[in-house]
Formats: sequence, structure tokens, C-alpha cells
Amino acid sequence: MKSNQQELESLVGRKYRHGFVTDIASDTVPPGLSEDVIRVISTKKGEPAFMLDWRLKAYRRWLKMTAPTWAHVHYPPIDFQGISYYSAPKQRTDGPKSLDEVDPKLLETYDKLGIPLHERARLAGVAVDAVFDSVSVATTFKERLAEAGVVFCSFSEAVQNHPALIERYLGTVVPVSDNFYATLNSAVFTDGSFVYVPKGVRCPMELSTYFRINASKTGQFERTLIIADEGSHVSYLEGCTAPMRDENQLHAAVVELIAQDDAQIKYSTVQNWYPGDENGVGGIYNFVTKRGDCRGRNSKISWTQVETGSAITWKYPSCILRGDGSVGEFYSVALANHYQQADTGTKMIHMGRNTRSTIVSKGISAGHGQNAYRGLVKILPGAEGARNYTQCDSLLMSETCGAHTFPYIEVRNPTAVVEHEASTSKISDDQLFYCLQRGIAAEDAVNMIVNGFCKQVFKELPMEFAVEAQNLLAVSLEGAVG
Amino acid sequence: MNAESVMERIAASHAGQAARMAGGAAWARRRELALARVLGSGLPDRRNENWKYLDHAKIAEREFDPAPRVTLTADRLAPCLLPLAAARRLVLVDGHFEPQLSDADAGTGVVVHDLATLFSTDPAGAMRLLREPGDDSDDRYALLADAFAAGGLVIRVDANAAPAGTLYLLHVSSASLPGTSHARVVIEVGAGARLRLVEHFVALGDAPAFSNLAAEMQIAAGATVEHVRLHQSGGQSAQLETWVIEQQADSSYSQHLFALGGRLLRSNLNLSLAGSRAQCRLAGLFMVDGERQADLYTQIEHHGAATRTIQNFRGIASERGRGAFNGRIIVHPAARGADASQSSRNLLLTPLAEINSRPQLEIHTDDVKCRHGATIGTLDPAQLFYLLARGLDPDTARSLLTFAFCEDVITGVPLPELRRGIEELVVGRLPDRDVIRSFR
Repeated sequence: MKSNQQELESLVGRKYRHGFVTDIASDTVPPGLSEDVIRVISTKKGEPAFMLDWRLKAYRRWLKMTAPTWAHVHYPPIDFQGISYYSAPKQRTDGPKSLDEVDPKLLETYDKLGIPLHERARLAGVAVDAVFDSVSVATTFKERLAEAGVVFCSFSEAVQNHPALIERYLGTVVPVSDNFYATLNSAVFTDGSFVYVPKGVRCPMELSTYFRINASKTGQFERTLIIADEGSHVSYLEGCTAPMRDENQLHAAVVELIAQDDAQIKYSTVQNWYPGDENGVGGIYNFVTKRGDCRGRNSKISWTQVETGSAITWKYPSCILRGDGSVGEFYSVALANHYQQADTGTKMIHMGRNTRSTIVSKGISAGHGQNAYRGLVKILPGAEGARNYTQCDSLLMSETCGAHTFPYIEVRNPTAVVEHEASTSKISDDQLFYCLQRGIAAEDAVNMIVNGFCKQVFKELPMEFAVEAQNLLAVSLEGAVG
Repeated sequence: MNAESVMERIAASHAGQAARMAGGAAWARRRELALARVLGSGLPDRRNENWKYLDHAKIAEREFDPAPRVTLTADRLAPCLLPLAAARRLVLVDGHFEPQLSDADAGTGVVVHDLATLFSTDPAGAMRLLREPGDDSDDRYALLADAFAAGGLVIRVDANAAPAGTLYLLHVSSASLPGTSHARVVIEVGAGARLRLVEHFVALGDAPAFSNLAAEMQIAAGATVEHVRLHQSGGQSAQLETWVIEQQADSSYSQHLFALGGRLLRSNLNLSLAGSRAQCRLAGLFMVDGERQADLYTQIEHHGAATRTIQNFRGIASERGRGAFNGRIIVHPAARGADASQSSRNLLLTPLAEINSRPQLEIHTDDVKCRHGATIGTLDPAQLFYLLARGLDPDTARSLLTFAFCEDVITGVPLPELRRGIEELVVGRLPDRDVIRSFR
């Protein structure tokens, strides 16, 4: 066991695989935040007046807010004036018309990340709207989606081409004043993805966006809006990696999902941003507001996330179960190794009759990692017959790590049934012994046990993601157990 | 009623009493300081996560001046007493120890001091004895009690003493007029000693009295304490309590908490398993109906190795009742081999009632076994069907199942006569009580 431990410890020291910086000229606004900066962002993006008003309203609101302190995470105060709020890869005169025109270095980056652009995209059957820093540069499979009537484009394009939809839905799930980081996002967001699936359409392919933080000192403020109209169905994948850097970078995204009658949205995330080095230096601050609104009857929103990256994760993908019979799901694997801190969970707000929600959260802590599940299940008086089942398990892999469970259960309807259970333990010595005895190497045994621990969540992921997630977990955890 | 006015009223009440409080200059200074800290930080409110389910307005509307002292006779008290055989009784009325209502001999190896006397005769000793509350919001009401420290009890159990029978600590709120009382209780249990303590809270009148208890217990190595706490105050009384308990190695502590009375109860317990192999077993039950609310808060910290917690709380809310369970278990890095389980099960019986549960685990080392579970729901339709199929009418069936739900907590009560008394109290709160009685 001892020699294994040394071997494993050497593996813990393994460097971040996706740590590289692509050196391309960026069109960056100097650091700082003011109404002028917001006007510049809005002008550069050629936005209609209502967007600028909306941003300024958010900014004025944000000035009066203070950063939240309730999460179980610790970090030095963020200098919001030290961040540049706009960074776009420098465009050739009219922007790239085809992949050939895209900066080759950019394509090389995608290549390293394994993003299925050009023929790989076709093989993988995935439409990719790659967000490179703050501006989308390439979108594929537009035609096939257009045939089905699905709108899948960058947020900026949507503002230009579908302003009515934006004006109608933007900020209706996460209001401008929702929380400190969401309000900041509303003021300064630069781009993101927009999806509209019309009535009765089943989206012909999985939609996918790769986010990537690149230019130094630029916060990323993504805004994603997905609308599934009556009876439609869409599955959306989001995955991220980021270059290695010693300076903390702020990422405050907002994701809004809207499901109308009988619509279904499945939103999957694999997050592998730079977590900081083994001493806790650097890494991304990931302060995200994700919320889905099951507006229609029998609608369904399902969140699946695998969170292995970021120095700090602060994220609670939530469901507002407004429509009668609507369903919310949350499946999560969160890993905190080295000095990573994760405070993540979900909120299920039951408003409609016979609404159901399921929460399965698996937390893994190793090194000095701190992993907290924080969840709210709220049954309002009108939620007749509501049902919730929550399970959150934590796996501890070192003496110095922490695993915390902070559920809130608030019930105001006697016909509701809410169940919560949680357990925390280390990898069982018996299980490990059993594997070793059968000639399985310690590391493989740990991987196997951890994968078994997370299986319930992985099986919710689309196949390609499930494979990536397993590998990610294995890499992130190598040597974490002796 | 805004926060300023509450603070102003507390300050005014303090100004009115300060001169009459015993203990000399040192205590006057300590009370002043405590008051200044309370006024500076204010009382906790809903914005504080640990206090978010309490209706703070119900406390703010109370009268913070003390009600005039009343003299009670033993006859007046008799109907309230629990039928405990061979119990030694200690009575606090509105926070003041009443020797003439109490047994002179508290048992072999048990020494009792009246804090009011101690303030006059040995203020320095009292200073050492009474913990100075911290700045944490959990301790804010204890701090308030410190600012008004005037009466209470000190109970010492000698090392290896095993007093026969039960120590019966009766907290009486006279509640004939609105008013606030603060009490301090300090219990020291020597190494290897055994103590069985029954705490009983009653209110004699219907006035909206406010009682604030700050108590602490030191349990030395190898000692065993069984602690039953029964809140049975009727009417409008509001009770705030802050218990701080520290357990040394190999000690064992069990608590049975029954929140069955009062307009509002907030019970805080901060328990530290400081020594290795210390273990605690906490059981609790709240029943809230009418407009009543109960908010049970516990924080258990595992410091010692191989420490153990078993927590089992039940709650029932009906009519407009509001119940809350806040339980946090913290396992510190040194507490290797800790084992903790926490269960919060709740029944919500009517549409306007509300139950909130916040079972929490905070774990800082890997060699642990911790789990918690929480449920909120209504009676199991399958169980109900089973009883209906056997000819019970729906109300009786519901009452029977509700009682069975409580029974799990009640059966753990150590004394048979007390267990029966509590069963009777619980049954008395259910519809069709006579039918239920016939089943037992």
C-alpha cells in the first residue's frame, strides 16, 4: 500500500493537461467598469436600444449590491475595476465566412481540446457553437437545424436577428436584480448561446457549446437563453477547459431555460476549467446562475453537471416548477481536489400541482478540497401532491479535505412528500481490499470505485460526455487516495 | 415594530434594573459590556441563516421589563408537577431560585448554589463560573441573559457520585403579567458521575411572558448524563434557550426534548464532543398546532477521536403551526473515526401548517461515517388504508398513526412514570384521544 501511495502521489502532481495559451491578437477594452464601458460593449455589438437600457438598469442596480458571503468558500475580494469586460478575437474585415478563414491558431486550440469542428463535427453529429472568449466565431450545422426550424446561434446574432424573442424572454427567469453576479452579468455580458425550439419540434441533434477563457484578465460573462416551445424537445451540452494561468479569473455566467407546455430541456455540463495548481494558486472563479422555468404543464427540465474544474465553484442550477405536472431533475458530480472549493447544489421550487423533482448529488473531496452541497426544496401551498427525492452522497479521500451538506427543506403543503438522505464516508477499505486481492492496481481500483459512486449521474449524460467525464474524473483524482 | 425600538426598550429595561443587580462593580461592568455588545450587534433576524425560520416579530413585541416578583405557594405549584418518584426538586420562578419550593437536599454528592446569593457573597467566583457568551449569533440571547445576569442555579455533581433518583428542575413562568425573565443555569458533572436530570417548563398564567434561559453543562471524563426536557408552558409564553454542553472523554450524554407548549419556542443547543469516545444521543419531538411555533436548533461538534452522535428528531405541525429543525454536525480534523447520524422526520397535517428542516453535515476529515435523512410529508396512505380496512374511522386511524409516529421518540425516555406522563400529554393533543388511550 505504501509504495502505491508514493506512486500515486507522483501522479497527483500531474500538470493540467489543457494548460496552454493561444497567442492571437485580441480586441480588448481596458480594465474597469463604468456606464461608458457598458455603452462601448453595447455599441461594439451593435445592439438595439432596449438592450443598452437593460444593461444600464442592471449596472445601476449592481452598484447598490454587495457580494454574497453565505457560501462555504473563501477567496480574496475581487477587484471589479481590474477586469477587462470585453475581449474579442480581432476580426478580419467582415469576419470569417468559412473555417478556412478562421485564425489557424484558433483551430489548433480547438484541435487540442478535441472539439469536433469540420468533418469531426459531422462524425460526432454535434453542432458546435464555439465561444472563444467572448465572441462566437464558428457555427456549424446551421442548415440542418434551420430546416427543423430550430434557432441555434450566438447571443449577439440572436439580438440582431430575433430581437423580439430576446426582448420577450431575456431576464424572465433570472431577473436583473436576482443576485450580485447575475446582475453584473446582465450589465456586461458579451456573448453566449441562444436556442429557440419551435412548437412540436424535436431538435434533430444534440446542441453543444464549448466555452473557453483565453485572453488574460478578461472575465467571461456568458448569457445563455434556451426556449423550448410547446411540445418541443432539446438537449444541450456545455463543456469547458481553460488555459493555465496564475491569476484568478472571474466567470459569472447566467443561463436561463424556459420550457412551455409538454416541452423538455436537458442541459448537460462538463466543467473542467483551470482549478489552480496544487498549492491553490490561480484558477477560475466560477460564479454561475443557472435556472430553468417549467412554465408549461407537464414540462421537464433536467440538469446534469460534472464539475471537476475551477478554483471556486458557486453554482446552483435550479428549477421553478410552475406548470402543473412539471418535472425537475438535477444530477451532479462535483470534485474538489488540491485547494479547490465547490459550493454547489440546486433549488427546486414547487409551485404547480403534482410537480416532481429528483436530486442526485455526488461530491468527491480530495487533497485540501472543500465540497459543499447546498440545496433548497421548497413546496409552496399550491403544490398539491408534489414529490421530491433528494440523495446527496460525499466521498472523502484525504484527512485534510472537507465535505459538507446544507440542505434546506421548506414545506407548506400537507399532501407533499419530501425525502432527503445523505451520507459521507471515505472509500471503503473492504472494497479496496477486495479489488487489490483480485490483482487490480490500487489506482484502477479507486477509479472503479469512484466511477461506481458517480454512475447514477454519468448515466444521465449523453454518451460522448459520459466518456469524457469518466476520463476527466480519473485524471483529476489520480493518486488522491493512498 | 422596528429593530431600533426593540434595542431601545432593552436598553431602557437594563437602565431600570442595573442598580438593583448584585455582584459589585466587576459584575456591573460585565453586564454593561454584554449589553453594549447586544445593542451593537442587535438580536438575530431572518437574514441570519440559523435564525431564518423563527418569527422574530413575536419576540420583538414582548415586554422586556421584568414582571413583578410573585410569591408562589407549594399548593399553587402542585398541579403542575410531574409524578416523579424519589425526585429532588429545584424550582426556578421567573429565573430566580426559590429555596422554599425546592428540596433542601438535592441528593448525595450534589451541591446546589443559588446564583443570586453567589453574586452577593462571591462575585469573583460567579465571574469564573459563568461562561462569557461569544459574538456568534447562536450565542446572542445568552449574551442578553449575561447583560441581565441576576439569578439562576449552579449544580455540581461530585466525581463518581451517583445520586439516587432524579434531579427535577422546574422552570416556572408566573406569566400573570407580561414581562421578561432571564436565567442562568450551570451544571458541572464530575468524572465518572451519573446524573439523571428532568427539566420541566410550565407557565402559570396566560400573559405573554418571555423567558430567556442561558445554560451550560460540563460533563467530565467517564460521566453519564440523562437529560429529559419537557416544554409544557401553555398560552402565550415565549421561550428562548441557549444550552452549551461540553463532553470529555468517554462521557455519555442523552437528551430527550419535548416541545409541547408555548406560543413560541426556540431551543439552541451547542454541544461539543471534546474528549475521545464521548457520545451523545439526542432525541426531540415538537408538536405545533394553533398559532404555535417551535424552532429546534442543534450544533454538534466532534473534536475528539471516535466520538459518536445519534440524533433523532420528529416534528408534527397542524392548523397554523410552524415547526423547524436546524441541525448541524461538524466533524473537525482531529475527530478521526467519528460516527454521526442525524434524522429529521416530520408530519405536516393541515394546509396552513409549515415545516422547515435543515439537517446539515460539515466534515473536515475522511475517517468518518456520517449520514442524515430528512422527510416531510403526510401520513402514509397505505398505513391509513390498512387501519380503515380494519374498521377504524378515519379520524381515529389518523390519530393512531400520528401517535405511533411520536412513540419512537417517547419510548427512549428513561423513567417509566415520566414516559407515561409524556405519552399522556402527546395523546391529549390528538383528536379522538380516548380511543387512542384504549389502544394502549
